[in-house]
Amino acid sequence: MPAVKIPCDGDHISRYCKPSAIYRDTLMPMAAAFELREDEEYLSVNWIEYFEELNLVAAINKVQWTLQNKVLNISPNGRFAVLGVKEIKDAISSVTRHASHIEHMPETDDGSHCGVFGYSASDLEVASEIALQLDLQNVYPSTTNS
Amino acid sequence: MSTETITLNDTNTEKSVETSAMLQYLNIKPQNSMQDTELSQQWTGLSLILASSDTLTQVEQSFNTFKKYDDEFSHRIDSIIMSLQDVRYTGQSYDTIPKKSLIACKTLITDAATCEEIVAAIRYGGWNAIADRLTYLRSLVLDDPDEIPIQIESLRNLALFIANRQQQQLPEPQIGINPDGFACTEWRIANHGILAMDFMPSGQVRFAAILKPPESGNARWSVNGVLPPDHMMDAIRVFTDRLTS
Repeated sequence: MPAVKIPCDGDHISRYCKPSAIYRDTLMPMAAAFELREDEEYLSVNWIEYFEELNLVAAINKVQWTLQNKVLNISPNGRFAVLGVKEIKDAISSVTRHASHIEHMPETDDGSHCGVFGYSASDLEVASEIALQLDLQNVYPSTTNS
Repeated sequence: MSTETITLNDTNTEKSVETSAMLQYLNIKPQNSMQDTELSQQWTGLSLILASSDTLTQVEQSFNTFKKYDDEFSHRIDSIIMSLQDVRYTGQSYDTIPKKSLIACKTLITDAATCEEIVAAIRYGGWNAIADRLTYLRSLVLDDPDEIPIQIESLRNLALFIANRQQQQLPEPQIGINPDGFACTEWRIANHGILAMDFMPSGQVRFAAILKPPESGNARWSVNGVLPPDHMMDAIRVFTDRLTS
């Protein structure tokens, strides 16, 4: 399926942050949660508005369900970070001075899958800038029980 | 083995060192290598000499003497002697040294063959919260095959940084693992500053620091790069000064 850019800067994406990149006291995501592997070209995220839910928590539950169906282990000690599309694009551009973009890259078992392009594994400052955008209001438990 | 604190008198200064660390260092020698009777006797003799030494010079001489009998451990002994010389010539206050000797701790970290040994060395140094966190991070791999195991050389470099942190006066960091299995640390200043480090297996540190102090409006200060730890600390001085003020 051809990649289509998310048209609206007012939309949101969520990133599942593993327990290995979560603050042990505040449970906030570390910059490591937004770093790319050496061989990765983009950061995998999920498009919140794709699910057409009325509220964010319901949409995140759908993301959780989707990721679990992809046989990804969603730990109760992990967290979902939610960021605005414009917010994350601005965070990248403020560091790299280059345009960044988020592409809708639906997969057969994950229609909401997107990629955040515009930085690389060596851009720790970008990952740090993204982490700095977060506060407790846009970090959610990874399971309904946590 | 004795665990008491003794006083070492140097030529013009008096400093207190917890020699239990050095004595415990002696205990790490595998017992099965003690079959050589002469070596065993020398080892025991060194323990006794150390316990009764009252000058740094005597300690150094004891270690130097022992090197003749134990080639296998001579590099560890060289490391200890160098550390003792550092202590003597830098005039470092022993108040800044944690419960156990940094000398022995760094030697244990450098010589560790496994991640478990590195974590044990950190615990030995008295940094229990950090050791607990690393144990937790390592356990995540057992629960989740998607988690990346921490790379041993990266962990070693983090551990050495932690051991040196005492001199740098940095608060205890948050610790995590990045997607490539590098140990990473992070500090925050409220919601307007972040300092992140990835400890690379090569010994260098990938780092980024960002400050957006409220009093400066929208002004943003940042620095990033890949440097050896000492050079990095110079590069991020603006951030660490605020972190420790």
